[in-house]
Amino acid sequence: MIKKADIGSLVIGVILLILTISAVGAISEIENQQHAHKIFYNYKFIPAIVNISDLVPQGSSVVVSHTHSYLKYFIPHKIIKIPNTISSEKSLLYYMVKNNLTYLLVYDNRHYFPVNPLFSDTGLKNLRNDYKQIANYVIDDKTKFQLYQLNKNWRF
Amino acid sequence: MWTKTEYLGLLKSHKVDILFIIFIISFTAYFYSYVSISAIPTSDGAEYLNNARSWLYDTPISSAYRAQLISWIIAGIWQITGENWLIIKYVIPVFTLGAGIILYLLLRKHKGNLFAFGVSTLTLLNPHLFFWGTYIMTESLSLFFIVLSLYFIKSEKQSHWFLAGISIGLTFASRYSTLIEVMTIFVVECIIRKDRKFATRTIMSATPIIIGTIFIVYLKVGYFVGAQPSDTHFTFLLTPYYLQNSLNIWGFAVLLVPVAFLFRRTYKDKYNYTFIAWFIVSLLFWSANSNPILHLPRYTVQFTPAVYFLAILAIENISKINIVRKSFHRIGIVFSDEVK
Repeated sequence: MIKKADIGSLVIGVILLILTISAVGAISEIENQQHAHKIFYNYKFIPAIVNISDLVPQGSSVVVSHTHSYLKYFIPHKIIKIPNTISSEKSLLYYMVKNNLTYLLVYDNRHYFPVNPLFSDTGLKNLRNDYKQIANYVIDDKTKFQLYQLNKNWRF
Repeated sequence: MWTKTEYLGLLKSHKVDILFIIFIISFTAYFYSYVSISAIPTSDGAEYLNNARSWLYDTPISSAYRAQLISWIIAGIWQITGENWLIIKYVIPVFTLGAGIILYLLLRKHKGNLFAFGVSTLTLLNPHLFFWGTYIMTESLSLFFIVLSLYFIKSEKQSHWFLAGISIGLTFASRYSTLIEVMTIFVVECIIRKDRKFATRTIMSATPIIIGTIFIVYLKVGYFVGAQPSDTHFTFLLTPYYLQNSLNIWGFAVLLVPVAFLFRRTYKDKYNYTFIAWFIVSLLFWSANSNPILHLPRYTVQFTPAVYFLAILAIENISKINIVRKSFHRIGIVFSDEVK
């Protein structure tokens, strides 16, 4: 025969187990969240943007592959996003020369957005004919910043 | 001078309160250990910082569709301290702690300190509330104002109803979509109270804040939008996302929520209606959004206290079943109305 007291203890046991698992599970889930967003804990990120900003003379604008809130906030220069119509290195070159722009910042963050083919590994190789890479910061396996300066001997 | 007996009596009568204070102190240390190790703001956080800079230096706003209260707070702090995002990194998480403390004070009055302790600790330990609460995000700010609104709405003091309206307005200014949640709470309370004075006082103070918020943004930007057009597609075909992921979002405690609805006692106490409506309306609202990008655990932060309220309510109801009552009393789990 099951006593009333046993049922009571069983109910309390189940409830306490549920609450304990909830609390312990919460702590391990917080760790999971931290792991899933590990870029937020990367101490190379902000110094890289700041160092890149230092390489661009005051008053110059920076053409960026993505207008991300980070770039807008941490780069003091005027940020110009590459127009959506630009799909080749030659059209990019034409756009920059026409608008008297010298600096190009490629922000590759595969945590958040796919790579624009223009700035894929092959695309970047093609860019090197007309641009000089002046900074390259690898933040983690999915995030990097590359700053390019337009060569004086660019060619259409 | 207090005698030893008086001292022990005081400690005994406030043991749950003392336990809660110890919890809050330890939780704050644990919570801020996470705040301190973050190296960059979230991308949304950087947008709020950009907007704050725009308000401070009167430059065009970079993302006008975002709620501006957080950026006004940041700009206000920078006005005193100078622009530094690291100060903001430590200030905004205070609203998460504030929400937990106000929730405890709110529930303690009507449901007793043990009930309040259960709901508040589970809420603060919710992984999504905890994680996003450590960042410069509107999740914690809007949760703070929802709970504050609830605190004033549930008050019997007439002066608090005026403050409830202000708090409702600030909830809207902190995150536009939370107006639905806070208005649900307000409407249910109007129905329960049937008090015209309560309704008019609250509306009278909420309206100028809401209109003022819209007007200030309109003056700065030239238009007002509450969300991006892609975020406002709703459907009657509700997504099962939040139910399917409920264990991951709220932990095993969510299993107790349906149990709360099985008891007649749940419906006897009108105090519970606000929390039931808050939970159901919020769940339906977020499940009705047809954009899969917006099916995220962090959107549940604003109604997480209602989920845990129902879970603890289920435990309270179970503890009152005759067959188990004695066992609960034996280990010291006695909910407030039994004490009375």
